[in-house]
Amino acid sequence: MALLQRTFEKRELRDPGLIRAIFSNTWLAPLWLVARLYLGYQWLLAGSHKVWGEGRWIAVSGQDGLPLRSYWERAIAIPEQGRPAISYDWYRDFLTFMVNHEWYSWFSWVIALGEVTVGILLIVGAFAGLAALAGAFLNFNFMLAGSASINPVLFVIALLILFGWKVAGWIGVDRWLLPALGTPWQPGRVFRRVLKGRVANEACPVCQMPVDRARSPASAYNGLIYLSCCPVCKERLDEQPARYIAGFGPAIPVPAEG
Amino acid sequence: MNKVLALVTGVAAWAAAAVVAVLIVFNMGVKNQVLMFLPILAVVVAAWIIGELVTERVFTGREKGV
Repeated sequence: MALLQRTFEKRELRDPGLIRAIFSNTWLAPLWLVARLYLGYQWLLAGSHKVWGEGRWIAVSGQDGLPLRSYWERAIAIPEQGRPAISYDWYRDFLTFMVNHEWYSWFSWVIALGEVTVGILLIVGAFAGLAALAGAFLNFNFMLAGSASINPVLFVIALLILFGWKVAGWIGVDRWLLPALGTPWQPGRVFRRVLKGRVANEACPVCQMPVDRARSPASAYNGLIYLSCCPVCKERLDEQPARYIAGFGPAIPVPAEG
Repeated sequence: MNKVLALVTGVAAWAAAAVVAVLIVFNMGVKNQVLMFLPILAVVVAAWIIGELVTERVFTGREKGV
């Protein structure tokens, strides 16, 4: 029992300084910009061939997605000699199901517009982490279907951007978008405005200094928002929320302003 | 009014960057990828500078020395 308690007790393992410097510090933002632009450019280029020009997948005079059907048929074919392109039977069954049900006609739109969207989002740095995740998912599927090409390289770059999502879009729209929206555990200005009726405190739970509803750092805990007077107090609150919120008294939602 | 104008300027700068990137990739060949990459880098950096100098400055009140 003591062994289980010791193993699974709440313990946060902090990243070393080098990892935080790479993935959480804005000083490497120019490097992330280059990685992001390269990845976005490649996705935009790939998507452009599918939505534009003679060999496009969509908005053609006949049925949409015929090139995609050809691609899937080549992928699911089992050659008489040598290894098939797809290693996993479940993935071959999945593609076979989509070919048999003619899903390529609408799926081609999803892939083509998805690639263009991922490319644009990465280039302007809007939701860079989510865009990289979507790109990595596309790479993963292309690789499962037996296409190597540049997919492994793009997949690795996408994973790195995913790890560095906080700073990958610093020279980009995320510089303003992420602080405005925030995250579920740290609501930003927009969500704070929406949830302002659920702000639980008028004074910092850690040091009792007054808080500013518009600017103070916020933490979400038990469905309520707690404002701290400064980043240091916020860090302490996030480390031991129960201690400070219990000391602060019961969380009572205050009525929304205006 | 100042803030609205600054916000519109920032959004327009980034929208223009996206449009220029799409136009460059959709209308140029792939023979020289560096020549396509550099103008995209340039418009993104330009949009970021506009955002920093116009939008961010107005919203944080730095132009007033706050």
